[in-house]
Formats: sequence, C-alpha cells, structure tokens
Amino acid sequence: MNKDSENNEKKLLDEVAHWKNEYYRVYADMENLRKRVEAEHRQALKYRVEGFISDLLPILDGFHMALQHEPSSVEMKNFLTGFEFIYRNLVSVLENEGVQEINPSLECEFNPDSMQAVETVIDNEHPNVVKKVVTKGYKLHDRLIRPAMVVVSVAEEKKNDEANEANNENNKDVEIDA
Amino acid sequence: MAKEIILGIDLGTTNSVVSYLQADGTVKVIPNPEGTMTTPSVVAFKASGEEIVGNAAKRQAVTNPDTVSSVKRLMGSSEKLHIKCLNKDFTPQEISAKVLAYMKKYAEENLGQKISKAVITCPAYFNDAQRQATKDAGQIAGLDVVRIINEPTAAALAYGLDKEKSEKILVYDLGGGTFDVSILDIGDGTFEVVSTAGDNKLGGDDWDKVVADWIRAQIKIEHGVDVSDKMAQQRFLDAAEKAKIELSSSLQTTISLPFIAMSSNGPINFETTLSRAKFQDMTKHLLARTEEPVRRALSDAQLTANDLDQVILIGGSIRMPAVQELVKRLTGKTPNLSVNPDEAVSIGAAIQGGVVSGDIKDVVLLDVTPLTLGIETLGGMMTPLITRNTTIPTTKSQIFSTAADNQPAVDIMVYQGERPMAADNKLLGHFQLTGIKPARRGEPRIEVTFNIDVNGIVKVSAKDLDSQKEQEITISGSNGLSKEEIDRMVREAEANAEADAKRKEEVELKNKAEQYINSIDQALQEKGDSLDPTQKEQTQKLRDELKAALDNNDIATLRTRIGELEKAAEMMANTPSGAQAQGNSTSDTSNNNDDVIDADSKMKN
Repeated sequence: MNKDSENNEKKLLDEVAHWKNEYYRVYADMENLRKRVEAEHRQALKYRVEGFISDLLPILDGFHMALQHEPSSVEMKNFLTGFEFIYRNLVSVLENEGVQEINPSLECEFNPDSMQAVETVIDNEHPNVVKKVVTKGYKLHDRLIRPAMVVVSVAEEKKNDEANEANNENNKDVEIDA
Repeated sequence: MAKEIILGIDLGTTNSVVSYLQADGTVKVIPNPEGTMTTPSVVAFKASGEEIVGNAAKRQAVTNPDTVSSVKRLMGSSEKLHIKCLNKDFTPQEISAKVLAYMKKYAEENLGQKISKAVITCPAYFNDAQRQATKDAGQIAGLDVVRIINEPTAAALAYGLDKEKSEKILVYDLGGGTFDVSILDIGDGTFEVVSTAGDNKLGGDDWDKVVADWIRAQIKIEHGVDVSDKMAQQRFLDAAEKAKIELSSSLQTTISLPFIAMSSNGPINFETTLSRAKFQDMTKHLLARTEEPVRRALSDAQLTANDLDQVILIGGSIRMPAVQELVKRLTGKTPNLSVNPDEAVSIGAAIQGGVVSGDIKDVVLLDVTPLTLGIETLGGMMTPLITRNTTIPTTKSQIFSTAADNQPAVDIMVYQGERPMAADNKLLGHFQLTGIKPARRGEPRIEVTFNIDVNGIVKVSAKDLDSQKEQEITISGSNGLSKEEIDRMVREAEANAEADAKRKEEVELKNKAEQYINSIDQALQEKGDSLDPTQKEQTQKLRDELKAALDNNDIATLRTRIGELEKAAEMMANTPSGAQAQGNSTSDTSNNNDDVIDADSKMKN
C-alpha cells in the first residue's frame, strides 16, 4: 500500500467516525428534546389553570372582605352566612385543582418566599414577624401565584434609619428601597 | 455529550432575563423557580448573612432597608453601597453579581448542567468603565463573560437583522422604568450604534401611577373619602396595571374595587369603566416624553425618518397601542413586533453566544418541503404523502390499492401543490407498476413510498406487497420552483379553498357511489340467488338510481341516496340478530379500511 492510499484510507476512516458521531449526536439531541418536551408538557398541564386562578383571586378577596364585616341585623347575618357557604364552595373547587391558601398565623416569622410586606409597624421585642394579614396568598401546587400581603414588625432603630434614608437627598440614582 | 451552553443575559435596571440557544438553533428563555420569565434585579441582605434575590427580595423590601434595587444606574461609578446589617460596603458590580449568580444557578438547575459562560447586554450609551463593571459583575458571579453587547444590537439580532444587507434601524425600548432610543447601522455582519437618546426615569410604571391616582381621585369625588392607606394604594396600582393591559386589546375596561375602604355608611365599593381614549388622554404627557428622544436620536445620526429601513419596538410597555401609533407616526414605518418585547434583548444575547461559540455556523440548516407532495388517486384527487413544511430528509409510506377488478397495473402520478384536485397541481413525474395479479378492486396492496433526501431529491417508489414487484422514479428539480412560483401556488390554494373543498366533496361522493355500485354488483352476483326477491329488487333499484345519478353528475341525488344507504347499513349493523345475513352484503360495501385508498385506476391499454 503506498503512502497516498494509506492517507486516503485514514481520511475516510476519520470521516466515517465524524459522521457516526454526528449521527449519534442527532439521535441523542432528539432523545433529549423529547424528554424536555414531555417534561414541559407535564408542567404546562399542571399549571394550565394558573392564569385563570390568578384572575379569580380578586374575587376571592372580595368575598373574604365582605365576610369580615360584622352583621348589624339578623337578616344581614343570614345573608352573610349564605355568602360564606358560596365562598367555601368556591374555595373547595379551587382546592381540588391544587390551589392552596397561604394564611400566615400572627406572630409567625415573615417569609418573603410566600409573603409580601406592604407595611411595617414597630415592635422592638418581636421584629420581623407578621402582625396582620391584609390579603391571603395562594399557591398552585408548589408554585406561588400570589404572596400573602402582610404587615410586618420592625425594630424601632431600623424604622428610624429608614426615615433617615427617605429624607436623605444625597441618595444616588439607585434607591435603597425602604 | 452535552454541548457547552453560553447564556444570554439581559441584565436590566428593574428586571433581568436569561435565555440560551438550543441545539436546533432556536432560543429558549429560562423561567425562574417561580415560573416567570423575568426576574426582578433586586438584592436584599440580612444580618444572618442570608442574601435574598429576585421576587422574594422585592417582596420584603419595605421591611428591610438593606434592600438594593436599580443598581444598574450606579454601574461604573466608584460609589459604594453600605449594607448596615453587615456593616459592609459593596460595589455596584458585587451587587449585580448576586443577580447574575442567582440567574446562573436557576439556569443550571433548569438545564441540568454546569454553565460557565455568558453574553451580557448593556445600554448602548454605557462607556468603557460601565462596560468593564458589567463584565466584572459576570466574573464575580462565576461567569466568563465572552462578550458584552449593546441592548439594541441584541434586539436587532433577535429579529434576525444580521444579514449582509446594509440597513439603518431605529430601536425604541420602553421598559418598566427606563426609555431608550438607538439608531443602528447594520452591514456586513457588523452593528454600529450611530446615536442614542432616552429618558432613564420613564417607563410603564409611570402609566400605572397615573391611572392609580385617577382611581383615587374618582373615589374621592364619588364617596367623599380620600383613601390613602398603603394596602389600598397597592390595590389601586394593581387595578391600574390590569386596566392598562386590558386596554391594549380592548377599547374599554371595568375597574372594580369592592370594599376598598370603610365609611360611616359601611363599606365603600367602587366600580367604573375606563375607555382607551380616556386612558390615552390622561397619559398623553408621558407618551409625549418619548417623542423628543426619537427626534434627537434621528438628528444626532443626521438622518430623517425616511432613511430608516426598519423600526423595532422592545420593552413590555410597547404593547400599548398608543405607543405603536406614535412610533408609526414619527417614523412612517409600521414597527416590527414579532418577537416578545420583554425577551428580545436576552434572546439576542443568546444568539450572540451561539455566534461566539461557532454553534450558529454549526447549526445544520434543515430545509423544509415548500409544497405538498402526493399522488393522484381515484377521481383525480390529490392524496398528500408529504405535507408542506415537513422538515427533510424524510420518508413517508402509505398503502394503496386498485380501483377496478383485475387491474393489471397502476399509474403513479406524482404531484406537487396544495390543491385537492391533482390536475390543479404541478405534475412532477409518473411511472407505472405493472404485473399486478388479477384480483378484486381494493384487494392488492401497493405500498407507495416518498423519500426526500438531504439534498431535496425526491424518490417515489411503488411496491406490490403480494408479488414484491417494485418500481421507482427519481425526481430532480422538484425544488426548482422559484420563490414566486411557490408563493403563487400557496396563494392560489388559499383563494380556491372553498371551491376546491366543494369539488373534493363531489369527487369523494362519486368515488363512494362507485364503490357502493361495485359492491352491490358483487353481492348480487354472489348471493343473488339466496336473497329475498323483494330485497333483491330493492337493492337493484337503489343501484340503478345511484348509477343514473352518477352518470348524470347529479350530486344532490347522490348525496341523499348515499346518506340513506349508509343509514340503512348502520341500522343493520346495530340490529343484534336476524338482520345479520342481510347485513353482510352491505357491510362489505362499507368495508373501508382507512389505510387503503384506491389508487388511480388508469389501466394500461
């Protein structure tokens, strides 16, 4: 075998190896793509109602706010009881779809993973705890759709700093949010 | 086996987005653990040393003075941010790095592999120091920043505007909190930023505030109460944003805020409608603030609107129709809106990452068949084998049969086009498969296979599965159609869709009628003697009626007769017993294997 044909053979073998590799790569890509699409499809099915549920939340809030009022008469009380039944039915339909209420208990530690602080109150002894739940939050399976809106306690010293910050005109473009 | 991935990161003032180029050359935005595509560029520190980034950081901002947002505005300056709880100073790039590291982490979790490289975008007006700071932020986050590219350039890349052609492009970017205009000069694969202008304190949030203030004022007018508590403010803002979004697609929206406050008369319930016209009127001063920068960018570039080849709109706020109208009025161009405006910059960065790694060149550009390929079947119909826009190489087979008894050969006529009648399409070639053993119509099984190789060469073969006889044809030049021809054929198919559908239905009816006549003939011949004379007569009558209608091309009669026949067959099939024997003769006629379509019956002379 002369040098040329040896070289030629090597070249061809390399080429075969190259294309074989490319070929398997395409199959692997396909396989990975298929797995990915399946996983995404499962996710999409699991969370398909997310948009719809989040549109429903203000309605749940409305019910909740209505039911918090003290009835001034027996008649009104009976109406409110009826409304409460309707509200509970609605909540149970949502629970069946995988919706869970986030209703933090008072004095529990503030957790920004599921709560949003809307206001602060001073409490030097127990800072960073929930003082009031303004609206409940909701999760769909393990995904947060809306955090619970809560009032959180802060220590006095911090509150002062915050005030100073707010008054500090020297703050640059960037805002140290308070 | 996993290829190295280079992330494309839009490191924004208020929100950031990360995406990557997939193996097939398309870009995918990676959702954060909360399932959203954008992540707030917010970092918070706690005395425990814990760091919170993204949505959670934003949610705890009011409780924690050590929360930093919009740090992008400080990039490149020597300013330090003092974090009290740790009594420590941070540089802006260190803070930005925390956002980048967070995104890197969730991208790695999502993709299931380590990531070490990224392309990060920055505003076109960033100077060297600001760019270096951005690069440093990436490095601190453990990312090798292979390229820093301009945001408008990334947007242009996302729109695929990197062709050889030389073009002048205006990019109008109205985000949540900043507004930028850039003019780009693209040519030979290079992007030059000719001019930039903007307003770094203007964004979609300002529109929300105007509407929220209006709601508050309306409540005061209607109920005489000034609602000012923080929670109500939040509800106003939420309602305002919702209204803004709804007014992008409808002309009017309802703002409904039950139990917004308490008064001496019990709860205050507020509801009102807001029209798009009213919304646009109350926010027109904001829109006007984007006009001047557009003019300035044009004049700085020494261009007029007429010199622009393209206008691209990015940033979520450009979904407002008024913004689109304004840009159209200012530039005289209909803006391009085909890419998600929140994701365009990140997508462009991911594409740039692909260019850097050589992936874009490596992407095998797979062709698609521009038109449907198929064969002519009974009644001159086009039966598609490979539909339009199928990615090639590909192979498709289908089993056909004969249309007449003892048919010795089938003609395979190969057509290309979208019309249901073969004759309206383009004949690519034909061949004949001969030597089919004498058999009843519909009995022989002839497998027709279309194979398009990577070069677009079409091979059509037909095989008699009983005799194993095979015949094939290679069609070259099937892609020889010009773009215009292809477009014309697709257009014609659309224009004739209705008439074609009618014709197709007629042919199908006729085919069915022929099939029924044939089956009846066969049944009468075989079992005629055993049949009840009245029934035989009835059947014969129905057959003759069908035949007459078929010969006279009387579609209406065909339709009713066939309908009756099918109903009768169905009834017989559903009758549990007794009718069984009679049922047999008709059930044969409806023995319509879905896979078997009668092939063209043209016989060899």
